[in-house]
Order: sequence, then structure tokens, then C-alpha cells
Amino acid sequence: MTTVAVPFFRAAVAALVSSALAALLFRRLRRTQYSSGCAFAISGCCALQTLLFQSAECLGASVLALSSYAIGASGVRLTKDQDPRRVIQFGTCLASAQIIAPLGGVIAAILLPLTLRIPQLRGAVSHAMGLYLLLLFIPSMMTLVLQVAADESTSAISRLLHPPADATTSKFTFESLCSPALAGLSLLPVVGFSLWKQPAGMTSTAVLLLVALCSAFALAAWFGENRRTGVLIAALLPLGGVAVGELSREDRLPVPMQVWAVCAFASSFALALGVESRSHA
Amino acid sequence: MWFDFLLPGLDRLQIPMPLGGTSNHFRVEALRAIHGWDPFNVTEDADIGIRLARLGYRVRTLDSTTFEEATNALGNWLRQRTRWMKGYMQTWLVHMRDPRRLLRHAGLAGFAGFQFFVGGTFLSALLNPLLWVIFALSFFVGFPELGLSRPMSSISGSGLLLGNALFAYLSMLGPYRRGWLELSPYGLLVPIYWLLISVAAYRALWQLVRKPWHWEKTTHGLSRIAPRGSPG
Repeated sequence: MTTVAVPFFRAAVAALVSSALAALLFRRLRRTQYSSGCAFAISGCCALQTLLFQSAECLGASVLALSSYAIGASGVRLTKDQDPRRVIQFGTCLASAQIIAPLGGVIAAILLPLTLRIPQLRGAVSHAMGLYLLLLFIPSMMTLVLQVAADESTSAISRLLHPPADATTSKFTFESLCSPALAGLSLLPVVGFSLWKQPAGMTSTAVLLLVALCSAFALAAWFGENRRTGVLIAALLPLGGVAVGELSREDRLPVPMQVWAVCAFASSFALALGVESRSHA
Repeated sequence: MWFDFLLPGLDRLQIPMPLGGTSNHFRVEALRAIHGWDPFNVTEDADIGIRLARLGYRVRTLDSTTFEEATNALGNWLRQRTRWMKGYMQTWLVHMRDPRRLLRHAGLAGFAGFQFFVGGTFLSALLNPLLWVIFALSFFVGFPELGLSRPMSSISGSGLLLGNALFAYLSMLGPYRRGWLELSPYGLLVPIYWLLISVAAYRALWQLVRKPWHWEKTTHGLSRIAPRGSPG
């Protein structure tokens, strides 16, 4: 009984932390004039990835949830106020995510700046490229540092966040985390916020449908025998694209940046699947 | 970067400020109190900033911009930077004649700030090529063969990476603050800047010994928008 209760308690704490942080992120996004659909897609994506991608351990999942929230919140602050300090803050949050999830962190660093509603990103190509490079700078340095210093210190962090689970723990957390009820419960706060704000328009409805489809695909892939987390990430990635596509015309990226965004999305998708297939080979 | 980040930072930390640029405003009694400027120093403005701080005057930055023409020809740029480097060397040597007195006048933070921002400017430029050569050699013969321990190689590797990264990032952030984002990517060329500034620093060192009071002129009016041919 005790061996089952402890992992359940941990999973419940992880679910609580991630859903609470996703709800906070949703509220921040709404306050910065993101539509309810867009805010729902982003915060829902954060909650899902925390609960399903990360190990079921309380610490790992909570740290990832915190990292997702920090990235989202700093992105929102940068959208509101283009102070250089906010640029540094956003870059640092993206960089620190790589310590927790190296592949996901790199993908997030490439893609997330493109989804921000910053006027400079929507202006001339030279301005958009300048800001994009600026936002990528700190995460790129972190990638370099992690590559150079890939030694005991980084693997120690990895061991702390992804401890090897015993059979009972794995079985129980698999059941508890994959249970649609728990996954659904974790999303309830954001759903509540979404409904409470305003009735969804056509675009928001389309976004919500896409989110539901992607989530269903991701869950189905994760329910499989091998718990294919790479497929999960790949399925969740289009949400970022949806967030970009949902922007109004004046908020959209210039055409060359859109091409870059599509290429980045496609290569991230391929990267996630490639890593996944290698790990299952 | 200099006017938008470093000088306001020094102002806020109340660290002696090496003045520079084309828009300094003084109260006459303060200039008289420090007995004017040193005509032998080729960056007399930087020297004035330190002397004002030593006498207890406070130098502040104003939220205002005076635009000036940036040098856009390599030879011209090298001459200008050589003069600046030589001036910083002169300023450092003058004020470090009696370090204890400087410490007493400027306080610990002021003393440290002076070492970093005046001494560190030319010292880092002088050491930079040497460190790059050691780093390049380490690829061929390894750090132990160069007589450097593993901790030392880690420290120097981190210093190289962090120092260049920080400087490049600040160089990219400077244009961002002004809304000149198209200039931000040029911040990535910092390693080339360092190479050139080191050339200027060695020229300055040579001149400090051979022609200490020589003022290398910067030719202005070379860019498209400025009136042509006014040396200054």
C-alpha cells in the first residue's frame, strides 16, 4: 500500500503544480491580449508536456512545469515591455530549459521567439532577424557550454530529474499519468479560464479543435507499448505553429521569417522523431 | 553599448567615470578646482572624469543623445583607437603613481572600477592575442604540454567563451535599446573587433614609449551624411 501511495502522491503533486502554473500562464497570456484560443493552446501545451513528456517523478515534472511557466511568463513580459532586461530574462529562461530537457530546450529556443507578439519581429526583415538572433544568443551559448561541459555535473542533474524508477513505480505512474481522467483534470483549470473569459470565435474554435486532435494523437502515441515520447513532442510542436498562424494579419511575421519558421517547425519535428527512432532502435 | 549601458551603470554604482564623447558639460568652478585638463594626456576627458571623482565631484549621465560620426575606414579607426588606448595608458600611469592615495580618494569601489575600466581596457587588449595563441596551440599540443593544469585550462576556456560572449551580447543589445535592430547581428563580429583593438593597443604601447604626446588625428567627414574633410 505504501509503495503505491508514495508515487501516487508524487504524481498528484506534479499534476497540481503543472496545472496551477499552466493556469497562471493562461491568465498572463490573456492579460497581454492573446486570444483565449491562443492562450489555451500555449498553456495547455505546457501542462501536457509536463505531465506526459517528463518522468512521473515529482521533482522532474515540477521543475519542467516551472521552466515552462518561466519561459511563458518572461515571453509575455517581453511582449508587454521591450526593455533589454526582458530580452535577457527570456533568453536565460530558454537557456535554463536546456539543462532540464536538452532536446526540448533547443527546439523551444528555436521556435518560441517566433511566436512572440513583438512589433520588431513583425516589422522589416532586418529588424526581425536582428531581434531573433538576439533572443537566440543566450540559448545558443548554453548549448555550446552543455556540449563542451558534458560531464559528470550535467549527468548528475539529469539523474536527479530523471531517477531510475523501479517496476512498481513505473507501473503505477504509467497508469496514473496516462489515465485520461488525470490528464483531463490537469487541463480543467485552463478550460475553466477559457470558458469564463469570453465565447470562442471561429479561429479560437479551430485552434481548440487542432489542440484536441494533436493531444489525442499524442496520447494515443504515448499509450502505445513503447511510450513514444518523441512522437508526443512532435505532435505537440504544431501547437506552436497554430499559435503563430492564429495571429492577426498585422501581427504576422515577415515572409522570409515565416519561411524560416516553417523550416524550423519541420526540422524540429524531424529531429524529435529522429531522436525517438534512434532511442528505440 | 558604452553610452547606453556602461556609463549609466558606472553612474549608478558611483564609480569614477572616464569621460568621453562629444557632449560633456562642466561647471566652470569644478574645472578650475581640478586646475583644468592635462594638455599632455591624449584622452584628457577620461583623465578629467577620474580627477573630478578624486576631488569628490559627482559625474552624472543625462538622458540625452549627441550624435557623432563614427569612423568608417580601417586606417582612420586604428589611429583613433590607438590614441584612445594610449590615453587610457597615460591616465592609468598618472593616477597609479600613488595607488594608496588613489584608494583613499576614490574609495575601494572607485579604485576597483578604475582598474577594471581604465587599466582593464588596455590590459585586456594587450593580453588578448597572447591568450588566443595559447588557445590555438592547445588544439595541437594540449594544455598539459603547454604547462597548464586542467583547472587552469578550464578557467581560461570559460573566460574565453564567457568574455567574448558577454561582450558580443552587450554589443548586440546596444542597438536593440535604440531600435536599430538591423545593427544587432554585427555584434557577433566581436572577435574581429578584439583583434583590431589589440593591434591598436600595441601601436599605443609603442607610441607611449616613442611619441607619448603625439596626437594621431582622426579624419572626419568620410561617411555619406557628414560634411567632408574636417580633422579632429
